[in-house]
Amino acid sequence: MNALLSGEGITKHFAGVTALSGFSFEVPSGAITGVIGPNGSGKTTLMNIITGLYRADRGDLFFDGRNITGLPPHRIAALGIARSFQNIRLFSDQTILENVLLGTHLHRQAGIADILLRLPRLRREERAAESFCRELLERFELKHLAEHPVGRLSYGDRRRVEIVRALALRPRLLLLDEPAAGMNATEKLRLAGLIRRIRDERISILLIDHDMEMVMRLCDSVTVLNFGKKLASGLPCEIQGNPAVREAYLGLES
Amino acid sequence: MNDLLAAYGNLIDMIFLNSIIAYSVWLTLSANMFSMATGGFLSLGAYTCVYLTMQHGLPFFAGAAAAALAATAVALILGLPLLRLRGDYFALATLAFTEVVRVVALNWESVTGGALGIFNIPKYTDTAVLLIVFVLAVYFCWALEHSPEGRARRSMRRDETPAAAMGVNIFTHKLALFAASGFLAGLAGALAGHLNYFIGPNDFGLMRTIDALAYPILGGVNSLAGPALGAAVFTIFPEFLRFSNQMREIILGAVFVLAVLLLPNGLTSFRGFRGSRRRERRMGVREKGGG
Repeated sequence: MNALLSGEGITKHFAGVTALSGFSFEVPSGAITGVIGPNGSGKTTLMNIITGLYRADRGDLFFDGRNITGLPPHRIAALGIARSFQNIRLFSDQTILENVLLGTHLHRQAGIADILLRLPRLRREERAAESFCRELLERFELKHLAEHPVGRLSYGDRRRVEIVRALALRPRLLLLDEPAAGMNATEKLRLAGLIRRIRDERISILLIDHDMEMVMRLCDSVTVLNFGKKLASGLPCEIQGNPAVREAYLGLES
Repeated sequence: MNDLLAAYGNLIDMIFLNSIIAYSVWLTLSANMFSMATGGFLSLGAYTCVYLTMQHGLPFFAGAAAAALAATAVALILGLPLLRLRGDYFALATLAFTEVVRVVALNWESVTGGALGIFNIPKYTDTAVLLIVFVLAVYFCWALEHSPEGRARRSMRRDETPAAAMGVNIFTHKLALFAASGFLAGLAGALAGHLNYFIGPNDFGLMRTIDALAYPILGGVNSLAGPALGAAVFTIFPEFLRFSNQMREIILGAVFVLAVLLLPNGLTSFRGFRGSRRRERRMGVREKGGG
């Protein structure tokens, strides 16, 4: 048992619709864990509950042995859980570098006196943060775009920038919400490589997607959600052969 | 120079005073808080300072500091519950605060002089004091902008959800900015109290609040120069309309509507527009060069 993040009996209703009912899951440390399911199966709801955007009606969340149920988003981030958004949410009026720099927000020490008196610590920290972010951008082949406004980027680049921004938080767990949505085959391949590299840097990943191919290719273990309930969980090959999963996805008679 | 000061001294004082108020409003607007508490903070600052200097013989400096701190404390107490409200509800609740302060000022005769107001207030506020406070206010906003806190503020102004996901505590940020706004408005109120020999409860009501909101909106919220520019234009322009009292209000209103329609990012967008075009061109060239 070395689950980094786990949920027990997570339930969430929205005005009569049950988005999640009694869903339990585990995200082991150092692996890529996938949650798949058809549209409307509760994947994004799960993501928003983990990151504190929603509050579960019932159930508990544990991160590194600590109960984190109901913590607000900024506290979740402070614990080392970073995320990307399904509908990319970069700050469109800022440059790529400025977007990524916000990820270093939690690691700042400068207080109000440093800011108002412009003490050296402020400059030192800002310089360190900037070089850290430029390095991060370089590693993900985005360095040449650092000064560009977000508005000029291609869709695939925006997704990558959002992931790099999350990494600037120096997270222990990275949550990716449909990172491959809207990407072409080349971009998907590139993204898969990027996600593996992040895992190799000892950052655990929870990947939420409805794209079977992507999840099967990348994940060490997979959980299938359908209508807010766990349909199956196991290794990708087990899931692929599971008749219930095939039915949910393809509508086949088993 | 002396002639100029003699002729326009009052106008110059008002420009500085209104600019300070404009930065107080900017601190809230720039974090998506449509605060209408400015009138209340001004009033609180003015009465606190005048009361302390006239009835307790405190020096002006001490009275002004107490006024600013009192407004800060009230802003904190007010912000704790009100900042949980969304958009329009926050605006209405802060407006209610301004009204409550006005009604208290109207009725608490022993301190505020009631409806008649307070006369013969010694004039301590001069152009130099206003200039110093103005410079400090601009510096404060500039230092905040050019710090990680400024980045957090710009991000949460654009989109709160990802800002929070990056670890920005939205509530604390807003509360701190609201308190800073209260501090500046309280200080401006103290300066206003000792500027014109008289204060009355209707000096700091709804109209004053709306004027104060107009300064940074007219000048532009996205630029640090915006609030001062807006306050200057909004203070000088009516002087040209002195020929008719009725026309003055109408023309002023029409100009404001036109400004908002034609320049949604305020007067500073003239310069900003050119700047961004130039920047874009530069980037385009670089992009081509890079292949």
